[in-house]
Amino acid sequence: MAVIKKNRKKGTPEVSTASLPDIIFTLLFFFMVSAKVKDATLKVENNMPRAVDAQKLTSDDKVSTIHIGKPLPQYQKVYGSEPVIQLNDQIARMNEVQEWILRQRQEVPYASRPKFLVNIKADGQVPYKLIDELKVELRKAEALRINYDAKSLNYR
Amino acid sequence: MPRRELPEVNAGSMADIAFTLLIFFLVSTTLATDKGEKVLLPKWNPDLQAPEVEKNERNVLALQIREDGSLVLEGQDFPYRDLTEESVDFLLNNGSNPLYSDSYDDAVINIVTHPDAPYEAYLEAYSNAKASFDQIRDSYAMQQFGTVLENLPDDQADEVRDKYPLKLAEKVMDEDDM
Repeated sequence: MAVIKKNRKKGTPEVSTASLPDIIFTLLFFFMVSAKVKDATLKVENNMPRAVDAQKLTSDDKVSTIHIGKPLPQYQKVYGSEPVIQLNDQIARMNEVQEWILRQRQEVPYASRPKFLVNIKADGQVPYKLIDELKVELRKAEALRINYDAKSLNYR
Repeated sequence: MPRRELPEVNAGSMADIAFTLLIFFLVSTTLATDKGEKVLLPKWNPDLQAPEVEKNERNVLALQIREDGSLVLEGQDFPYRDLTEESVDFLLNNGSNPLYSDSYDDAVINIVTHPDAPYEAYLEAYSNAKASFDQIRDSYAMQQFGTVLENLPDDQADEVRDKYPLKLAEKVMDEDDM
């Protein structure tokens, strides 16, 4: 009787690599989704204060962000150690705020301009007079919708 | 004895495992969203001086924030955590307690902040005062329409806001106040 002997190689069988693309795509999707769109490199200290009933900003708000705080250590040689304002990537002076607001508002489509909102991300230790001066500038530029960026505060 | 061959591992379910992981991370990660206290600033009008308001002292809830960030209510140290409750009592007093307001329409909460006070102190006072108005509006909305302000349609929400408008004044402390 003829016995057909399979001439198999011995050893471990190869692992199927068919699913490798899936794994790679999974990783890709994960990083795509979890990545936050980078808005600006922070040049100032930014520890948010806390507020009772802090509300999330809605997605249809057209947000421009102003950072306020002490310059980070590596920028203190240039900008000093007193709190400053950061507009986009630049440290700016108070008298530049109005013009910046006008430019930011230009970028928003006309129909969405009523939804224009200025988010003030100020460090909790900034003296209040700076915030007050900023509010005057914003009012002069007719940017009346603002948001004090803050973490939630619960006393209980 | 002949050596048995290792059976091939079925890799077909790998994709399923990967997708399960993907879905898990999708659900459990949230994008960092900005939170905060929304404010509508008054229009800038350089000709308009702050009005000299003649108010009975009982109708003004005077809050001061000192340079070190501590809160003073009607000349007394006051903890921030009790501020919301205190201002609700003040606003809805309707004349019953002689220390609080005559009526909601007459009442004003006035926040005076030292120019060098930390911003976080101001924000804590402001958000507490704001929260007291939210509480009042919510309970009125509950009573009238059976739900909180947030869930009301625009016209009813406006009705609630008209009934209980924000009564908040604020300024930076000047020499006379120090």
